[in-house]
Amino acid sequence: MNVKALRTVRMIVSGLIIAMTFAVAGAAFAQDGIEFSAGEIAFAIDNFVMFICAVLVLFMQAGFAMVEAGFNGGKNTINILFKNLMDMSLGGILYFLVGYGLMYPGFAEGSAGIFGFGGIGVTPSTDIVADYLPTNEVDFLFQVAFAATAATIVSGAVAGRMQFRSYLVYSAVLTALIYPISGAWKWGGGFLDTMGFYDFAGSLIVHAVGGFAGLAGAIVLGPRIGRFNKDGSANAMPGHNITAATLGVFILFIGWFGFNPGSVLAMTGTASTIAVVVTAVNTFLAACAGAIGAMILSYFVNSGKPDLSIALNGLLAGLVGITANADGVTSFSALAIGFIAGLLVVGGMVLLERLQIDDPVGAWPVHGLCGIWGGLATAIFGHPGTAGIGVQLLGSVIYASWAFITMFGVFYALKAAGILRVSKTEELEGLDIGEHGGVSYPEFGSTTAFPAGD
Amino acid sequence: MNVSFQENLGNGASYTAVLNAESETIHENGIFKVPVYKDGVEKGYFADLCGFRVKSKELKGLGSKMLEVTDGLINMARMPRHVFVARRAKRVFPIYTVGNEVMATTSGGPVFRHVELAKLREYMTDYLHEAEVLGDKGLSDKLHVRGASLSTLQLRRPVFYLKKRIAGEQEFWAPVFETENLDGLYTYAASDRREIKNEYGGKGVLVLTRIVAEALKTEKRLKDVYDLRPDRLQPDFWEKLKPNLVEAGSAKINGKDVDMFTSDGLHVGLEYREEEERYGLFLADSASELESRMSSDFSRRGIG
Repeated sequence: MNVKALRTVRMIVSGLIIAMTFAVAGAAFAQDGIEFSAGEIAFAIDNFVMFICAVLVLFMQAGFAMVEAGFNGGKNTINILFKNLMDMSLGGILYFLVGYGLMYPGFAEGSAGIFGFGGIGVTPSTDIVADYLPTNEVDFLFQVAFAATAATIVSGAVAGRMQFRSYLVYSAVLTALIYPISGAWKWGGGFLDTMGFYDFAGSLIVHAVGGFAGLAGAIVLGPRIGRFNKDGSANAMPGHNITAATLGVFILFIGWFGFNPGSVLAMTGTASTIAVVVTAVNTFLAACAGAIGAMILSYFVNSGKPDLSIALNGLLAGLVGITANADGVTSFSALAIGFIAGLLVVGGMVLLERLQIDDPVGAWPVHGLCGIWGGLATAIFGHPGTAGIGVQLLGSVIYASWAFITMFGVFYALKAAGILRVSKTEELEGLDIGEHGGVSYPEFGSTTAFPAGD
Repeated sequence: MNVSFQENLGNGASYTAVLNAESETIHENGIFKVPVYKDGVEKGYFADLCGFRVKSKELKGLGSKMLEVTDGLINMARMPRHVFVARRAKRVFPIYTVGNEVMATTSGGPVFRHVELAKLREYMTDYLHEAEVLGDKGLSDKLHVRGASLSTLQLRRPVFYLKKRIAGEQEFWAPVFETENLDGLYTYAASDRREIKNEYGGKGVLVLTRIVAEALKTEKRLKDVYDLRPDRLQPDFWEKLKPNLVEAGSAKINGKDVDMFTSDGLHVGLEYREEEERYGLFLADSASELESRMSSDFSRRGIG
């Protein structure tokens, strides 16, 4: 591209940015002679912000893909990336067809608030929604990204040994049924909402559901070959690309600024704007504290040396922990919540090792355990939105049990059908070849055969 | 990394390949002098690098292959200090030493890491059986441990093994090697590398055994220090040890003739293992206890 063309492109981009700034900042302006009311502008801004947040959350799929692929052996890379792609594609369509209606059923007055169905698909928006809430369409985009997040958490927990077709079955069940039904209990106005349970952006609804589903999968599948020794000790199975894993965590970190601040569901008006920025700061602080907490504890569990992969999981743990309460706790509370989450994630990883449960990326410690911590921390740190520790504890037990029991059943049925786990040969040679007929890194294959001496 | 060849330097080989891997490894000088032999049958040359055999018709070709294999052997900027050899499967698994731990990596699989070679061998054996590299469990290969010299990259047999085989208790096993400079003995046992220098002379075998036994006892892995004994001792090391012991006659235990010795109150029983041409030692506080220990071990092994 020559200098003149480059300059032209720069001018166009600058013009677009300036135009967008005017669009969102102006109180009212005329376009083609049409006057917009303050309400219409607010409606546009809120939807625009929500749309950007939805895109950020969708971008988290890339983060999950990188984290899971990086933390696992190179021979399973295609499989992991493919699972993430299908969580969004297959899961997204099922959530559109069934899930969204299950999650927002419009519970009738006096109903138990457990199960309902609001219809197939998304009702098209034709006018400003009451109270300038987001349109159904942008709300769907935001929520479908959450559904994909819940589903993809499991991908890491079952990595390296699960058949692809079984994963599709699991993913479909979770995004179409399990996640939306559990979401309806709070965000759809169900019984937990009525009881005063609070989960701002889904520590429990999204993360604990995914984390406990992953735990069920890891238990039913059993550990990867070589993960545990007969005497109960564990062998490390290092990932093949810590750079990708680190990039993935940073992508998730950025995506979380759509996840949490976006959950305010509005940007206009003083209260909403403050809620968004408070949520963003708390999200940031908890993440940083989580990474530090995990790093410090990793000194003690890793022979006096800090472990990057543990610190990365600590950052994610901090994010999961603050997700339930980011809008209503103080900055110092956010630091404490994140730091404790960072410690918990290490404890959770050690516990899984002791129990000989193989969770290759630490999905349960990060999302399951810290999801529950987030729910409880909401009451412990005095979030004004909750009815107290009792209801938070009840919600935690319900979400963890619901996800674990239902998904344990699904995984067990797949196991009984003989289609859950890949063969030993396939596991050893890698799922990329066995499940997808490909090789992720053909350039790096060994070409040297070493014959043994006597 | 580069390689050059020197004519026979009197070590029985035809040539010595001087492999320079100074910039690739953390080892003190990073130069390995590997003996190269003439292959009379195939009319070429061969060399063994940590148990991996390299062959070529020409010296030049051998050099390139040696560089390729050495490059593959370097892991974490180290050459292996030990290898596990699976004879029947014709496989050699390099073992690296990091601090006081020994470590083996697998491609896309687990990393085995422990302070004891014996544990590492146990873990790897289980994994390799599971992965069907070694064939059916119990019927096929065992992993044989060898040391790898950092000066010549040649394999070295253990000087002896420390062994605990007591009915109803967890077994223990650890190979003992000579140090790189041949100035002492070392083993990986009881959460650490245990090493003694040659100042003990031939008694080093007994001294190291006692050190490890005490350490295992501290870790509650051994009830009696004499439950740990040196086994399969190389004949030349027995010859060094023998002058330090006082002969105390012989005995017939379970129908097998054994020699008895004492040393500063310690009773030592000697078993010659004909099939391996090595010696097994038994230790005790008294002659009667020694006979009892030898008898029960022989019975366990079906002797007598």
